[in-house]
Amino acid sequence: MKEKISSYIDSELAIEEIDSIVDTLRQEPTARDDWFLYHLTGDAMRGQPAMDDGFSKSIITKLKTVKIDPSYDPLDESKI
Amino acid sequence: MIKLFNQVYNLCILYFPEYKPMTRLKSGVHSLPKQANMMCLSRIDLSYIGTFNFFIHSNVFRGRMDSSETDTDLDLVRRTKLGDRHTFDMLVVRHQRMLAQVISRYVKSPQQIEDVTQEAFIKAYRGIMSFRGDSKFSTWLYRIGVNAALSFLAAERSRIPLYEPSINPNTNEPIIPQIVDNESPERLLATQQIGETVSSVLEKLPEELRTAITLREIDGLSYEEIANVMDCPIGTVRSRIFRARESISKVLRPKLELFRDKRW
Repeated sequence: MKEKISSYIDSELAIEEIDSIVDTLRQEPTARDDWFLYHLTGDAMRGQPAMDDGFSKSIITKLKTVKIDPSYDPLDESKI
Repeated sequence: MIKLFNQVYNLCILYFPEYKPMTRLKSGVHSLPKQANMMCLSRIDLSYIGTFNFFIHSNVFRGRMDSSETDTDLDLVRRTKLGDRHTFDMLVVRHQRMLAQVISRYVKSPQQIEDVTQEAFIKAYRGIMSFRGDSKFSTWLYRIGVNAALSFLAAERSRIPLYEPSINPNTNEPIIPQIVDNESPERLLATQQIGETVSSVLEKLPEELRTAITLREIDGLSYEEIANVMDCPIGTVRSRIFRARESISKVLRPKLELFRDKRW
């Protein structure tokens, strides 16, 4: 499973395996930890700033209160 | 190598404009036609021939340079549009550091970077339906981030009065404020320690694991390209990259506990 997460990160997972890996990532905290750590590893190798999972968790918590607006275009908004 | 590839790639696009190799195919046979190969060889500087042949045979012309994260990003966006909000959470984890880094070019305070990054993600989620895949998702997201940073700066400027330096009553000269480093100590510590940990583990990895993960994360090569470079099957590349990530994660995991609940 972990190897499939690694492959999915790299866009190298077979299409027929994606649904199951996304389900796993949705349901299993340990899988989400792997998702976080594997991305952190790559970002650290590229010298990007370290951010702990508290930051993404705060964003994710905020997102729970936001709804998708089909008429909203964030790039159009900036032109106003 | 990437620079050389770009030079060869640009030459090929110049000579074969009808060839549009921008879509990666996992198992396709997207390569230049033989006559194109011959024409290229006759026109391209001789010093490029070896590299050109390498790229032709390694199928780099399937557009790898433009698709490092496109497939998975697009898949997660598609699922978000279908109503699965959790898949957008995965995009947040995937892009948070790069987005914050882009925003940090405009906004300096760590707290403000965090606020603007959060605002950019919220705008992106709210407006996800407007993302039509004309560009990479990351490009679209970073544009939102830059716009959010610029809006933030404009709002700040309208709030902050024009700077008037204080006068030293003894010397009657203006007091020059010290330049303040806006990097928080926690963030610097975390960045430094995580970077050092990753480097340290990388150094100890078997060479084949280190090469595979470096070609993937630093050079952005696909598994097939790495397989060509390392002369091994794709499955071996997949396994080596995973084992490298796992080795690093095992060491990183306990260290991250130290930074949990701290600001980055």
